[in-house]
Amino acid sequence: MTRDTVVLDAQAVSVRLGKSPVLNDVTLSIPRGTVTAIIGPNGSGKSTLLRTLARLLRPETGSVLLDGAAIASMSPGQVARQIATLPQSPGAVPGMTVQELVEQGRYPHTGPLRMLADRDHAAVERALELTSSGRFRHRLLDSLSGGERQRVWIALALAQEPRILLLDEPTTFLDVNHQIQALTLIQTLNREHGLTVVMALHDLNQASRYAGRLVVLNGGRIVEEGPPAAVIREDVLASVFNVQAHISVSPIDGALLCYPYAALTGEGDGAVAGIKGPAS
Amino acid sequence: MSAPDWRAGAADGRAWGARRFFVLLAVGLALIGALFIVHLCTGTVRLGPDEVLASLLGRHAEELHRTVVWELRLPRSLIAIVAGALLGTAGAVLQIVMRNNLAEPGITGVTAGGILVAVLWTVGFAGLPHPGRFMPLIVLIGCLGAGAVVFTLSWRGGLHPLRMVLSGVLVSAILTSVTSFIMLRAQSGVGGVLPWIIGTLNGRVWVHWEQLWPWTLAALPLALLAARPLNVLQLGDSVAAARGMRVNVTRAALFCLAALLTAAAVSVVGAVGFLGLVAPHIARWLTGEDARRLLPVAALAGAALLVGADIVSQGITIRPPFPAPQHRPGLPVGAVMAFIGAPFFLYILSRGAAR
Repeated sequence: MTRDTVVLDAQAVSVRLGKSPVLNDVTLSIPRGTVTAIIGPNGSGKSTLLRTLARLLRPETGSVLLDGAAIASMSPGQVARQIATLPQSPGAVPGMTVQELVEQGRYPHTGPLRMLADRDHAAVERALELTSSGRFRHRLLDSLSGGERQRVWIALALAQEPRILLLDEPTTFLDVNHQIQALTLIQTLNREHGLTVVMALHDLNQASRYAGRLVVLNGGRIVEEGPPAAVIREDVLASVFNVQAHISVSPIDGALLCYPYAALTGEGDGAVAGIKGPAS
Repeated sequence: MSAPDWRAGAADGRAWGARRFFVLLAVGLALIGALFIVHLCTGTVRLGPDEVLASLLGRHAEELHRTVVWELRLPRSLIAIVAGALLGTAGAVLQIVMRNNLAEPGITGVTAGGILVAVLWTVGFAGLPHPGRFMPLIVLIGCLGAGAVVFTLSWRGGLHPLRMVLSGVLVSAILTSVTSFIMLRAQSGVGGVLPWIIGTLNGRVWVHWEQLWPWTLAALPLALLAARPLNVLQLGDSVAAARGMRVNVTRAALFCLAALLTAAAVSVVGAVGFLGLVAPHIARWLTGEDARRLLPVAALAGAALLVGADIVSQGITIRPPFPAPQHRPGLPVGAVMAFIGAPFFLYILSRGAAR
């Protein structure tokens, strides 16, 4: 990986939330135009890593570089013009129409006071079009289905005209159909529009199918990193996720499929959960 | 597809959305104009609209009518319109800043803090001159102080809505009782305390208008300009931060703005409650939550409400058991607002709109 292909670069980053360390000496380079999926069990630091990459959290030590420049020395607005982040569940659903909501993505460009100009309206239109959410632009957000709503949030991020999209579990609250729709949209944005994508995902099969590169976090450290074929291994699933899994190749597209069939209790000691004796 | 929503922006095109908004503004202004005329007609000396217009335009008017309209009623009407607009806007801003549909200058303790400082200044510190035009600035100190206390009490890694309402009500109660104590000590009597605590337009004349308009001219446009950050803030803190907003700084600045709007109004009309609660809710119902439309409509709703409430209040005269500055003054407008606002508050509470 040469220097100029790396767009986002975390160097020996450690983050503490309150007293507890969440990320421990994480070094990670995101190449331009790739899709990276961060996987790992609950509490492994996926969200924290995304937030640190987006300058939403300040690391205790280490630094994040955006195109080789320290992100900490940039203003939040400067960073937001390059990087758009979507939190896991954008909680509040304000009584705004879809278009009004997507227009808020222009904030890093307009600042607090400037009105929307033609350029801003054009960016909003493009974002609505890319996510095919233009046809419900005048509907209120709370009248949309979960899948439609997720598309609108992605449109908001796209209206920001970022080069990098950071998504925290974009499929968590969606049904299967909408999960695939959302991931296909993300894939299209990457392939056809060159967006660099980093997303935290729960579903290992989706991660291995839609991401070119996987990063496995466990206990705040990166334990594995590489293309799906190198990372989705039975020993990794056992030691990181505490599951016994069978791994096969999808007959549809050759992606790796992992089928977890037993939960392990200990740290990879082979003991199977659910067969424990009565509590002593 | 769910049923089409008739509310803001539910129509087919951008143009209609904008047209609808301007129609709404025009209707609002017309309503305020009509209430303004009725307000000028209302009082101990009943006047017809023709007599009011004649007095205003200075044609064929009796001298008494001219004096009543120009010296007593016109300033009172203008103050009602402007103070109402200020409080309506302050409520709308506070509801977004505090992420709480029940937030309102009165309920959050902001008003009570301002009133306490105003009373301390005019009564407590003997020898200090009346600040005149700078009264709102002094009231602002109290508003900010009380607001900061309520903010701190209700902050547990985030603003908890009900905790905020409870601490706001408690802080208000404490500050109000201190205010009463100070005023009674200063022997200004119940007649002097009530107008501040309940809020009234009785006896408001040009001196008070002089105190009000410069601050309004500064604060109200500023509030309308703040629509964009307010909108981003409505998306939740994490989404707002990811749009490059410094969330805490912005929230603090917007809170100060709401306090300024409140200070300008309450330094002239006293603690008129619930206006800042009802007006933004009416506005939200009419326009949706886009602050670019919400704020101006909340201002108009606030103005119409306060003028309307004052028309009602003047119809209910009271004979106070204590010597009052005026002969048979009307019911304080704050009492009428509380009569409208308190049930409204309960309605919002019961609908579970306290997010």
